[in-house]
Order: sequence, then structure tokens, then C-alpha cells
Amino acid sequence: MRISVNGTPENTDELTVASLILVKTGRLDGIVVEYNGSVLKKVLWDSTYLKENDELELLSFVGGG
Amino acid sequence: MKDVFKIGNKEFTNRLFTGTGKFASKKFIPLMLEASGSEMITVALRRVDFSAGDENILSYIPKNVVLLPNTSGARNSAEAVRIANIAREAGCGDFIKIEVINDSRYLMPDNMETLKATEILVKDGFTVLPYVMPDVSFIKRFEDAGAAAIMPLGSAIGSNRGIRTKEIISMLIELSRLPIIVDAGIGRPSQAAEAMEMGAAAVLVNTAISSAEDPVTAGKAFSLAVQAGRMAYLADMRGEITSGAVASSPLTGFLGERK
Repeated sequence: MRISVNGTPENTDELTVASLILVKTGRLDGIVVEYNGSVLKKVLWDSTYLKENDELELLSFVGGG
Repeated sequence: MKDVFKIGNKEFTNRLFTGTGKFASKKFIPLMLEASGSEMITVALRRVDFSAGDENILSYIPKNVVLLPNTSGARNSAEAVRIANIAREAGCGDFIKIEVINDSRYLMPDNMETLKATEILVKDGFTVLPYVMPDVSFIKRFEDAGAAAIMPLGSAIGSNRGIRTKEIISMLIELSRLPIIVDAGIGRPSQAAEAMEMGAAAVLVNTAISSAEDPVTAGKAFSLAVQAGRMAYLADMRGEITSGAVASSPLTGFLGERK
């Protein structure tokens, strides 16, 4: 299905938000997800199934002042 | 003598706040924190870079150090509010440094948008530290909005130019009941000491520490300078600054003097 991750359209076969994050980043800790415009709590990642045209922002903390 | 100060619901004894930006290696961060004793450190939020082997910066910050996520990248209040909410959801606590910038050359903050974001985020339960252009007319506005402190810039971010806004920052310190934390532009420990001598509650130093060849020793140097400046402020030094000399030894009774 077609989804958008960090502003880039892509095809994915992943079923859940959790599996997509793991495939894309290799980790689950230290990641924050905005799912279709609102923050998706980590406890919901496993039970949130991806669907056509979903928009995800995968964010993490980096060095900054 | 216990010299503590409070921001939100946290008490601090160390008045040097630090940042995580621009370290050659993240491994320096915990060492710098230990050497300086800094109790609060800033982080930024960005899209995950899938091409880089990126790692969780939070794993380099000891749990007893307060995290101060910033809203860098925000160009207006709505973006700052969005970033703040994401940061809090990430489990970093309620502290947020609001940084709203729409000037790409000098990176000067937009006080109006920063104030709007402060009003919204205080209502949402955040402990808000706005990064601002020093401006006396904004003191009461930020106080009324419920800001936990005011963070005026000393000079442009990363410029190492020191406290170029000295006159106005002195006015903020005198007139505001909020802690004044000088942020941005402090490039040398002597400049940090200067801010503390003026009566600033704390200073925030990032670039000058992280870009030093030895950031661990630099962190310690800044911490000592902040302590020295704070002690000088508390000592209430009254010596007038004069243009001529005022002898400190007696001007009479010189050896070989003839009447």
C-alpha cells in the first residue's frame, strides 16, 4: 500500500506502525510518531494497522541547543 | 550556604545549563555533564534520518539531568506548540524551551510568536522557558503568560560574541520577577561570569563547550566561571569602576621620604 513517511511517498507491506518503525529505523526506543497529524502513543503502535494514504512522521531527539 | 533556585517544580544548585548540539562525539556529553555538574541540558527534535546510523541521544544523558527540549525549526507559534507536544509525548517531561525563529541570517527569535506559544503551552501544563530578544516591554507579558523563566540572548546563536545586549539584560534582571537565564552567544567562561555578576539566575552554553577541542574541560571551566560570577554577585561588590587609579596601599610613610 502507498503511505507517506517523513514527507516521502513509499510502498510498504508492513502491517502495523510498530513493524514499519522497526524496519525503517532498526529500533523502537527514542522514536516519536505523528500518525495522520497527531501523536500516536507508543502503547498503540502494535495495534495500529497501516492503511492506504496514511501519513507518518518518525521523529527522534538529536543534539541541539 | 545553600544557593538553590527553582524553575517549575525543579530545584537547581548548578547555574550552568548546557546543550547537546555540535559535539564531535556524543560520548563527550555524559563526561561533560559530570565535569561541569550541569543539571539541565537541551535537545532538539528532528525527523529520523534513515540513511544515517542514528542513535538515541537520550541514552547519553544521565537520568538525574533535566531534559530541556527546544522547538528549534519552528517558524511560528503553531509549529512550536506542535513540536512541544511531540517532545512531551516522547516522555521527556514538561520542560520546553520555546524557540521561534524566522530570520535565517542572524537567527533572531520572534518574541510575538514566542509569547503566543508560551500562553498556549503553559495552559497545557508545560514548564515554559522562552528564548527571546531582550525587550523590557515583554517582561510583564511573559510573566502574565506564566513563563517559568525568561531566556534573553546575549548575542547571535553560536557567535561567541558574549553579552552584547548587556544594558537591556541588566534591565530585565532588575525589573523581572522571573529568573533571567542568558542564552546564546556566550563564547568564553569570562562572558558567562559577566552574566552571573550582573545577576542572571543562570546561563545556557552549548556551542562554546561542544566545539572546544576538549569539551569536558571546557564544561568544567564554564561551570567554575558561573560559580565565580554568582559568588561575586552575592558578595555585592560595591567597588566603583573609575577611570583613574585609586591606590590600595597607603600614600604616606615612604622609605627615604624627607620633610
